[in-house]
Amino acid sequence: MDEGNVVVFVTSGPETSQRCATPFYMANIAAAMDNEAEMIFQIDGVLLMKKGVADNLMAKEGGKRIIDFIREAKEAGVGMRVCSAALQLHDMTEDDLIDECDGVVGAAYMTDQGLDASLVLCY
Amino acid sequence: MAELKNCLLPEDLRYHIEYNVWIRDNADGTHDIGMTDIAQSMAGAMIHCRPKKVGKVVKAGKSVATVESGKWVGPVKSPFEAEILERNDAIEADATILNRSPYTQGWIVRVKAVEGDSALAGLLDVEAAAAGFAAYMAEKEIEECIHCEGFDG
Repeated sequence: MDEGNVVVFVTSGPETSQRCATPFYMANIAAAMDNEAEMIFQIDGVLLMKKGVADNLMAKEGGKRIIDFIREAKEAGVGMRVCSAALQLHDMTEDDLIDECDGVVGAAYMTDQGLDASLVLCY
Repeated sequence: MAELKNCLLPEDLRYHIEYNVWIRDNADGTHDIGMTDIAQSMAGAMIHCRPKKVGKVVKAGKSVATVESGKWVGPVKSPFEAEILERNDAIEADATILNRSPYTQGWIVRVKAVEGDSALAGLLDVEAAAAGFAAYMAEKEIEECIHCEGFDG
């Protein structure tokens, strides 16, 4: 399906780095296929949006850095938002977020996005 | 055939610099769209190419196909609004055709311009395209095109 909207929920973080590249890749592909693509980071996923964390993080040793996956997805037009409760969980504030992050959202927003999506992916 | 830093640009095609695509006029009201030698060099070894479905009408600037390589994923964009008449199934089965034969076997989709030939007015001939791609390559810091074994130019 194309020209729908795809929402990618990311709960995986640096402790399971092998799970951290695919969500950006899939969001990038979705955007390249002219879908609206949005990523929402919850639980440990918000750490991927924290300044400095993705800079030297790789899904596989010697592979592409997660920050490069983030930048490519961003360039493709993927929206990236973090869960407000997950920020609190990790004692983070909006000032801790990288420039690629589009903002902080609440549970109702996330639920609405999931309900309205053509495709929901969870990592 | 024009050549620019080992990148080949056939003279019988028209080009769109930003989208890095070529367009062939089939002289029957249809046009083929494909990736340039520069685009295939930037992407590296292709893994997948998925053209959109026949019958789909794609607006200008939207993708007619999605390409995945070892180091890049992204759209192949149409410079004009077009209806997809035919897609090249061979490249879906073997995307490396785009590396080996970007201008002949590697055509991606055959389309009909919704607004007719007037929609093609903004495309560049090879001379203008060579100048445009020279600036594009400088901006992207691309030194030269890379051709794999079996490249047919």
